Amino acid sequence: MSQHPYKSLPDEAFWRRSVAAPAPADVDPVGEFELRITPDTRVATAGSCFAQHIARYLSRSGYNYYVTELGHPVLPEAVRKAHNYGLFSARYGNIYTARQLLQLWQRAFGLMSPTEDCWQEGEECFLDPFRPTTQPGGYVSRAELEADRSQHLAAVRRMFETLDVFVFTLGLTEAWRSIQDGAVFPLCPGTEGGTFDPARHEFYNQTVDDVIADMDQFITALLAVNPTAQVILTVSPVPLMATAEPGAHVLASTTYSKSVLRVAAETLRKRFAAVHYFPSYEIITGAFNRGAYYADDLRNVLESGVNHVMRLFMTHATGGVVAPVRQSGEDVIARQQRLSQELVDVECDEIALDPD
Amino acid sequence: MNANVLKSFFRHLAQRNPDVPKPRILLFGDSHTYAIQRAIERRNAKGIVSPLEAHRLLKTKNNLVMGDTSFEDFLTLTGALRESDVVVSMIGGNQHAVFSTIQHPQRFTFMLPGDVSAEPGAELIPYRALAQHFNSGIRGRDGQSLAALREATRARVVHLQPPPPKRDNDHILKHHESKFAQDNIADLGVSAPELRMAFWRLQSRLLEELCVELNIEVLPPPPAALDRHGYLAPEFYASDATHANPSYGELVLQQIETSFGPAEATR
Repeated sequence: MSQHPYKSLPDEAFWRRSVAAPAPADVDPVGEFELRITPDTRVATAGSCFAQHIARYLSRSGYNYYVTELGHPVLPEAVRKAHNYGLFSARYGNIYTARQLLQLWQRAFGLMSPTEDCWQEGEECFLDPFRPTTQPGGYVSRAELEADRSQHLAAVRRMFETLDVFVFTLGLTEAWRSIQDGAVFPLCPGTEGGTFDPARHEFYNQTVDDVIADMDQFITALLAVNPTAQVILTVSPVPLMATAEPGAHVLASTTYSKSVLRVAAETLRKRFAAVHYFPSYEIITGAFNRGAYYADDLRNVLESGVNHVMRLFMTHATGGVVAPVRQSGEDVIARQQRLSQELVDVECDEIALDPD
Repeated sequence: MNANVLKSFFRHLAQRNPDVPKPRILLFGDSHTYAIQRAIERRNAKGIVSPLEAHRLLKTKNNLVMGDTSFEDFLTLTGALRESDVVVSMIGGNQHAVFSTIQHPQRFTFMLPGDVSAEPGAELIPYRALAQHFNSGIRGRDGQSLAALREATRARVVHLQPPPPKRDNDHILKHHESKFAQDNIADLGVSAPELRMAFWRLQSRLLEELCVELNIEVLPPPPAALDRHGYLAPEFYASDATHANPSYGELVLQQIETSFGPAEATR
C-alpha cells in the first residue's frame, strides 16, 4: 500500500475522529495556538457582542483583563457597569468591523477627525455617533461629550501602547459610513440616534481585500507603538440581525460576512507572527453540536457555548494554570470614602454643640 | 429651579388675601434645622415672634439623644394642618458634602448641563453616571421621607435647599485637623471649592426634579446669605465644614415670613 501525507496526520485532521465521533463537549477545534498568557499578561478586548463574553470570562477568571478606562472609583461598581465601564478594555462599545477598529485607532492617535461627530437628541441629550449606546441617556451637552471623548481616546491610546495581548472579535462586514469623509458608524444613523440621510450616509459592505487591508494597517500600526504586542483574532458566531445588501437574504449575507472575516483572519495569521486565530466561531457554529449553542432566536449564544469556548481558550492559552484570587484590603481610595462619610456624619451629630 | 413651580409659588403669594387666617408653618429637618432653632431662641429672648415651629429629627447615637421629634410624630402633626398651612422640609441636605469635602486621591470633575469646560487634569465623570449614583441616595431614605410628608398632609409642602458650600478651605481644614491626619489622607487635603459648589448644584438639581415629581415646592437658600460666587458667605459659617450658623437661620426665618407671612406659633 502506498504512503501518502494523510497517513501521518493526527486525529484532529480527520472529521470523523475529531468532530463526528467525540461527545460534543469534547470537540476541540483549536489547532496550532502557541500564545501563552499568565496571570500578569495584560489582555485587552474589543470587537462585536461576542467579545463581551470573552471580556466577562477573563475578568472573572483571575487573569489580567486589562482595562484602561475603568470609570472613577467614586462610582460604585454597579453604576460603572450600567454605564458600560469594563464592558471592554476602554469604553468604545461594540466594534463590529475592521474599518471601525482602524478608524478608532486613527481617531485615538489624532489621524482622523470625523465631520459628523455629535448627534443631538434633545435639549440635554447628545450622543457620540461612534459609540451611541455607551453613555445611557447621552451626554448633557456637546462640551461634556467632547471632554469625555477626549478622555476616552486617551485611554484607548494607553491601552494600545501598553497591552500585552489584544483579543479582537471580527463581527461584520456591513457598515454605514459618512459619504463626506468615510467615517464608519457602528450602527446605522437613525437606529439608536442620529438621523439617516441618504445624501450623507451610504451602505458599505467590506470585501475580503478591504478587511485584510484595514487589519493589516491596524496591526502594523499597533506593532509600531507596541512591538511585543500579540493579537488574537476570533470571528463572532452571532449571525447578522439584518442585512442591507440589496436583494440579499440575511442568511446568505451572514455566510458572506463570516466567510470574509474567517478568510481575512487566516490570511493575517499567516502574514504576522504576532497574530493568532482562536476558533470560537467553529466551536459555536460547528455541526457537531447540532445548533445546541444557540438560543431560540438562533442568534444569541447560550452560556453553555460560551463556556465551551472559554474552557478551550483557557486550556490552550494558559495551559490550565489557575490564576490566584486577587485580594485587596482597604486602600487609600476606600479610606477617603469612609472618612468622608464619617466626617459628615459626625458634623451632623455635633452641630448642636456649636456655639454661637 | 423648575420655572413652573416657581411661577405657581409666586402667583400663590401674590394672591394671598390679608383676611385669610395666617398659616401655621411647621419646619422639619435634621442637622441643618439647628441654625433655625437657635435663631428662634434668639427671637424668643428678644420677644420677637417667629413665623414657624421648627422640629429636628429625634435620634439616638452612641447613647446621645439628638433632636426632639420623630418623623412619625411629625407626620401626625402635619396631618392636622389646613390647606392654607405650610410644611417646610429641610430633610437630608448633606449628601453633597460626603462627595466633595475631603480631596479624593484620584482627582475628578464633572460637568453640569450648561457648563462649558471641565477642570483640566482631573478625571471626568459623566454627569448621568454621577447623577444615577447620587440619585440613589436622594431618592432613598430622604426621597421616601419627602414622599411620606407630601402624602401625610393637605398643607403646602415646601423644601428648603440646604445652605451652599463654604468657599474657605482653611476654615474646613482648621475644624477637621484630626480627621485629615488619619489613615494616609493627610496629604489629600480639602477638595477644591469649585467641586463642592458643583456637587451642591448637582444635589439641588436632582432634589428639584424629585420635588417636581412629588408636587413639592422648592425654596432656594436666602440670597442674602451668599457671597458673589454663590457660596455661603463667611459671616454665616457654623464652626464646621458644612453647616450654617444661627444668623443664617434668622435669614431663613425672614425668608419664610416674606414668602408666607408671619405665623402665630413658635417653638
